[in-house]
Amino acid sequence: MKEDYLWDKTGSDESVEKLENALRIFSHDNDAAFAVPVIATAPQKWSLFKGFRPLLFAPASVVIAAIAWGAWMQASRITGPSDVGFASVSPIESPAAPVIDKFEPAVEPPPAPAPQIIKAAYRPRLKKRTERTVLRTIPAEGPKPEFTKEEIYAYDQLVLALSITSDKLGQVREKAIGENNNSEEK
Amino acid sequence: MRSYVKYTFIALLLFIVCGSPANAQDASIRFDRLEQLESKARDVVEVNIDGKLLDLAKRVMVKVKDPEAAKVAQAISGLKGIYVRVYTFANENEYNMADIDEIRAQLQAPGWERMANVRSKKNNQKIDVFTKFSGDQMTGVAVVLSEAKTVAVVNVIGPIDLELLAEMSGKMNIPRIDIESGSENKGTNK
Repeated sequence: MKEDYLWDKTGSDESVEKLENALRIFSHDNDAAFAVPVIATAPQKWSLFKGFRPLLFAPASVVIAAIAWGAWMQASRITGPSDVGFASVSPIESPAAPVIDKFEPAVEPPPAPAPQIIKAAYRPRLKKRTERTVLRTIPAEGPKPEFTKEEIYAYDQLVLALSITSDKLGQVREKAIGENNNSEEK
Repeated sequence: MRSYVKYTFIALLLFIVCGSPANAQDASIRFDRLEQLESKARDVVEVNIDGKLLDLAKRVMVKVKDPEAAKVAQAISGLKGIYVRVYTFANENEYNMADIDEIRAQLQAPGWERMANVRSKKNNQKIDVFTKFSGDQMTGVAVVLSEAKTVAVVNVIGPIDLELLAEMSGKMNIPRIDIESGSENKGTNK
């Protein structure tokens, strides 16, 4: 008995045949041609930025950082150190408002403040600014001086005297100017 | 000897101190002769401002928030007194020219200088402006005007800016008073 059944199927080997029969269900059809499976792919569109996409992250991050910085600056300007106190203002003032006051440039860049917080900080600022303008204009106008009757009488008399004096002096001046003009014309 | 020098110095000091107001008073004119015109005149304007009244008026002029008033206040800052007489007559030649000439004669005294004079046949107008100086300091001004129906005399004691005052005619709160044209009642002419 040839013992090469395992290698070239000559002879017989019972144990191997038994194993073959047990595994036959997993065997492939020897007659079928071997074919490499083909994966169908859709034709890809050509893109200019295809190769540079990673590079786009840099300007995008710069833009985002600029927007965040601008928003933070506005928030810090509105809520920054000023003569307007938060404590005296606003029914809108919430416990979160003082947190905005503590923003410091050196600390981590805060995210863009929520619109609600900006409104809460901005409204009282406008209100205070208006009040301050009014306070500035009132002293500029000043109280009108009040005069006594004697002062008014004295002023009227002086104005009358000066008006007569200036009128007469004005007449002399006009005559003198007229004479000069006449002599120049001649 | 020492007491002699001391008394001389005191006497000299008193002379200087008392002499200054005397010099200032020298610029004043006597209006006695004009008083008789009051009964003849149709309208009379008489203004006498000096001393405390003048101080009150100056104070008001400074307080009034008006740029023109500020200019005038500066022009009269050294003013010590101002006296005005204006007589307006209903008809021509109702006053005696000798009364006015007496005023002009007072201004012929030493120290007075005629700064300007205007003579016009129209209305027989004569205007004289006299000034008096003590050194470089103006101590007085006098303006004498006589027309057919009007006599006006102004006497200013102390320095005053005549040029500015002439320019201010009719400006500021100072109303232009043209007595001859009969519009003298506008403004503050009371």
